[in-house]
Amino acid sequence: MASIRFNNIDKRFGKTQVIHNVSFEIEDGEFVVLVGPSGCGKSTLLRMLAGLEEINGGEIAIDGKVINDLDSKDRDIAMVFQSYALYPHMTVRENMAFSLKLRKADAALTNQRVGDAARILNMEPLLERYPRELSGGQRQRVAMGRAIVRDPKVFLFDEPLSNLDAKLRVAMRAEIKTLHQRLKTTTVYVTHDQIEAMTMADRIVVMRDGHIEQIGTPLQLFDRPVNQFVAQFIGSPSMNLIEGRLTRSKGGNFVDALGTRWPVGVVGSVEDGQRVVYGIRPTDMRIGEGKTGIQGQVVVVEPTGSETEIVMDIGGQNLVAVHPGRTGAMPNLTVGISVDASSGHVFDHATGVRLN
Amino acid sequence: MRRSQYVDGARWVLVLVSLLLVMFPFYWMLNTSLKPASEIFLSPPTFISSNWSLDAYVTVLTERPFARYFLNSLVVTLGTTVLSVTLAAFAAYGFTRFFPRGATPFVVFLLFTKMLPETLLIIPYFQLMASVGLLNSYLALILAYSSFALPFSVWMLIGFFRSIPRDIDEAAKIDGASYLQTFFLVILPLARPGLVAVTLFTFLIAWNSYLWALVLTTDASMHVLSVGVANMVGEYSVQWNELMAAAVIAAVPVMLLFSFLEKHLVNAITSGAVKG
Repeated sequence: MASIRFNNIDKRFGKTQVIHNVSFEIEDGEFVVLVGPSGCGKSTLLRMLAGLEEINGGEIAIDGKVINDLDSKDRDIAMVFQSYALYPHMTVRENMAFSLKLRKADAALTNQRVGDAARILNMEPLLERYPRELSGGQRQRVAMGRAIVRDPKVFLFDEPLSNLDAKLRVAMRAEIKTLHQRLKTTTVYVTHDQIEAMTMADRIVVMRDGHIEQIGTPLQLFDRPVNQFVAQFIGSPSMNLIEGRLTRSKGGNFVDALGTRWPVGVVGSVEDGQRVVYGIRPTDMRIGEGKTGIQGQVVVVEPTGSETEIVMDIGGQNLVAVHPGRTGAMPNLTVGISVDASSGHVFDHATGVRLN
Repeated sequence: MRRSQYVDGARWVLVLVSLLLVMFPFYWMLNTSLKPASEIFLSPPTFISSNWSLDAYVTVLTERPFARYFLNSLVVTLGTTVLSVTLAAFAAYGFTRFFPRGATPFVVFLLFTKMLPETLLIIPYFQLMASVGLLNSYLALILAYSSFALPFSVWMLIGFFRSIPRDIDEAAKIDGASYLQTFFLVILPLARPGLVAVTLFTFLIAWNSYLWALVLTTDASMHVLSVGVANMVGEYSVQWNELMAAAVIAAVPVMLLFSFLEKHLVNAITSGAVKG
């Protein structure tokens, strides 16, 4: 278990700067997810922590000790790769024991550690098999077992579930989370999938173009995204964003957009009539009959069984609402939408920064 | 149904005819080596003889220094194979892991040297070996053969090493392996088909080479099998059964090697890739 500190981290590939002055801390035992679109620098940051990439500026410290000049093997970390990176010519047992063999650990300790890891991951029947004889999920477990055997201070995961099918991904997500709850090892997990981030993380670091956009718990990011990018990246389906103008009146604050008024709560230093972007999550839009509320015409209805996604045309723009359970809505039907002022998000039109 | 039976039958005939054409010279070589001299030019020729014996082999091994030639060939070939495969493996590892952009230009440069006809290099090589006092030595032949085997070996191994994912190196690094440990414990085992192919190729070049042994070794005790066999073609007469016996002795090690390593060679040719 260990705390990690990133201090003013810079990274360049040739003349291109890919990480810009990134700083944040991870507490002992925390499960932190680095999430962002492809090319945002999350994997590069992880690889710098692992010792697979050079750090061009700043320092990384584990438990207060700066590790910039330490070899990977001296950082007491273990990594699970997206491609599993198992040694094809070694059995599962040999894969898991490799690091201990390199350290010349005695056979008893090696057998004990490998056996313990195999038990934790339900892999005991697979120990004498070769990676080519295993399924994707089994290989991923072997990769995790290889990391567990090392008993490191920090686990690093680099998009470990990307190569798995959707159903297996859900199952493995739960396994990884359960493992973390059991072992309580500090974990840094990289993914481009915001659902993985939301379901697994103690805290999420949202990155874009080598910068940190926001750090917070999943619900903090969901409820109060600091800018448009985070607002649209976190949450599925994405937040609806509408361009409009802020109107201050005695009855409250509104955003005039799409020919209608969207209520918002207290908004900071924004002038009456200023151009803003209004955001509303699909789950915060209540759908009723077409007689009252904001009028919308149903375009597409997508029932998923437990809820229904409805795409509506409101004032010429398609917005998505999520209705719990089943609904009688059909295409071309006019529905009435109501939203709470407290559910509305207001962003600056020019910068995308949150205003409320 | 009937049509495919005819097609199958035609295929079998084609295969058998091809096999016959390829195998016949070897069969005839063996047949001739076992016959007495008086039967060699009989007409019609005997395909199976009741006079088959190992007399020619005994003569070759006792009256001529073929055992010595065999030993020389073995030392030179094994030396060349070990040196070439080792250097090629290190070169391929170095270029694919630490200097990937340099791999292609280096290989092109190496393969360029293969465009030079070997006869062009006789005098320079002779002078080079003579100037360092290596004439009539195993080392001269080992170095010369290695210089011819290395370009192809490096080229082939670079292809194989490139197909081994870099993730595996990184996993080994995180597990605590040094670069050399990664090379010996992880990369080499995965490149086995390529190493086998390169070993066989190098072995063949060294075992069969005649010109360089002729040029760089003048002392009869340093002759290799290829020179020894060629020397049996006399100015006025040839003992064909003894010559064929010598040729069989020269061919057997290569056949044995191929039979042991054949499946790896097929693997190398057909797959040439490793999935991590």
